[in-house]
Amino acid sequence: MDTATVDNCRVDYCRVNVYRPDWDRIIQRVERLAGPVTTDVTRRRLWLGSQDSVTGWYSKNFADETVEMVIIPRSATRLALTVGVYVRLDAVGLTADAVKAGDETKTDGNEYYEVKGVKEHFIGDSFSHRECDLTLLPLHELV
Amino acid sequence: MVNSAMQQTKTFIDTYYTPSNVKRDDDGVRVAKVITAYGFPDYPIIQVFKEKHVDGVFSIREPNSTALMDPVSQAPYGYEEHVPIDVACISKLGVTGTKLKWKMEAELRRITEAQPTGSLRSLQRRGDKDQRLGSTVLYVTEWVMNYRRDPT
Repeated sequence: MDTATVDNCRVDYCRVNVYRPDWDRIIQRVERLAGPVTTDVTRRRLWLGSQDSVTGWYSKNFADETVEMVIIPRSATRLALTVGVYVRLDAVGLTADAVKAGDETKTDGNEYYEVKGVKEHFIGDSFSHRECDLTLLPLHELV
Repeated sequence: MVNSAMQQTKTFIDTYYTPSNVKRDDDGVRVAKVITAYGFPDYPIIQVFKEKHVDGVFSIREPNSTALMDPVSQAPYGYEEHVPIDVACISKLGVTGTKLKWKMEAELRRITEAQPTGSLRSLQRRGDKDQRLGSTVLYVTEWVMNYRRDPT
């Protein structure tokens, strides 16, 4: 992810938002453990198409794009990150990129996860990263 | 191949539903966008309200079915279907969820009151199933519609 830094400054009573380096710190922690790694995964952005005449359901469509995400599975016994990450479902995904519930992610190992929920973390009023609850889709290649 | 009870109920509602009876409450002029669909789609229901700008949903779920047995021949001569219908909506700009839900429910009652013949349909019971989704409330009322149908 390209980054840019703007110096913090106060102009009378206005405050210019700064870019927080929290996401870079998370990546650095992962690399400290595993060496230079890529955290690129494919985000499959969900969008709804036309309605089915029988069920009334909208067709599910996905648009693929690459995002950075650190995926921590349940029962991971070794964490590269600070404490506080709690895996509620099959895995937790940490990312600074835009992800929403209903999207899917695909790893290099062709594992598909569905994003069930997204929580945004802020430090003060500055965005830090997103925490995504992921469920594994073991039968994805069949559909 | 005969249609399922879900499909028959969806067709019944779609045929007799009058959109002009259900209006958004901000101006009372614009017709609310209401869809009829089977329950439990495999995508978040909120996407329907946000991405598709739907105001309300009649969600038809799997029925409970009872075979009606002929006491002499011991063969089914029909089935009694109990079809759950969830009336669901959320509050958003121009729409108050509880108000729209009642308008949709009143329209559902009107349909069954105005169409008493053919397969005799009755609305059996009503229950509340509101769910809190973060700061949003999904207002849901469950009705069960009963009717009898011929054997397959």
